[in-house]
Amino acid sequence: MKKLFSVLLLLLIVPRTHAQGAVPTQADESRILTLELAWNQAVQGKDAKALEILIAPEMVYVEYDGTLMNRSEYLASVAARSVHAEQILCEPMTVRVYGPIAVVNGVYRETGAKSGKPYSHRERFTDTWVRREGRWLCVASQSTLIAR
Amino acid sequence: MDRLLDSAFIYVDFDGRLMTKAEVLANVELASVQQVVTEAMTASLHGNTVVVTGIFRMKGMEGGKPYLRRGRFIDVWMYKNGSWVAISSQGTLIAR
Repeated sequence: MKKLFSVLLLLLIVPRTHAQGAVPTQADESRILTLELAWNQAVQGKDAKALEILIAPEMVYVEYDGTLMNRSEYLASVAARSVHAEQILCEPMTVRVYGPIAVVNGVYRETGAKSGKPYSHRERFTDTWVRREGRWLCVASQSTLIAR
Repeated sequence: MDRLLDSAFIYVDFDGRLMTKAEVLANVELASVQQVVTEAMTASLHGNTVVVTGIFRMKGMEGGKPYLRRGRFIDVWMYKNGSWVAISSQGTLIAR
């Protein structure tokens, strides 16, 4: 599942690096991190409607097990009742802004239950955002389990 | 490969390791990959940027033992200064 984290952790989210080659734009970075938080809160609340305004129609999502989803499949997975995230903690994220494109890298830990079975994951993700008509929309998101 | 990767390129390996461009280039020189095959690739264009999704199969040797991995990747390419460079790549093993 997409990473989730508490509102308090937002205070810890500070862009750590301005990658060489990417143009640093503080306002865009802050905006994108806010959207990441909104995304996570929407997932936590199983609020597919709230997610719709963050995700581009052509968005592709790769789950930690390699499952590929399109936008509608991802929204359905968020609304599914079989997954219940009990605790999700996100480590600081890094944002690289290239004009109308932004790439976010981060790590999150998630514990919960899926189909009645407990799970605990630590995953690294990459989200790619595109600025379109003044709005940032996510066009790609991928998670990978971090080996222990 | 140096010319294919943006200076700020970030790679997330199948085991969740994050690597910079320098780390990727060093790792490529050390890795004993025998074969990499891609399949089912699709691309979507966003201005000067393309997002490529696909499946990779990788065969090689690690610690004296052979391995075969199948995973899904998303690469992000950007047209900069007259050439295409990758700005991001991530791999995730496919379960089953």
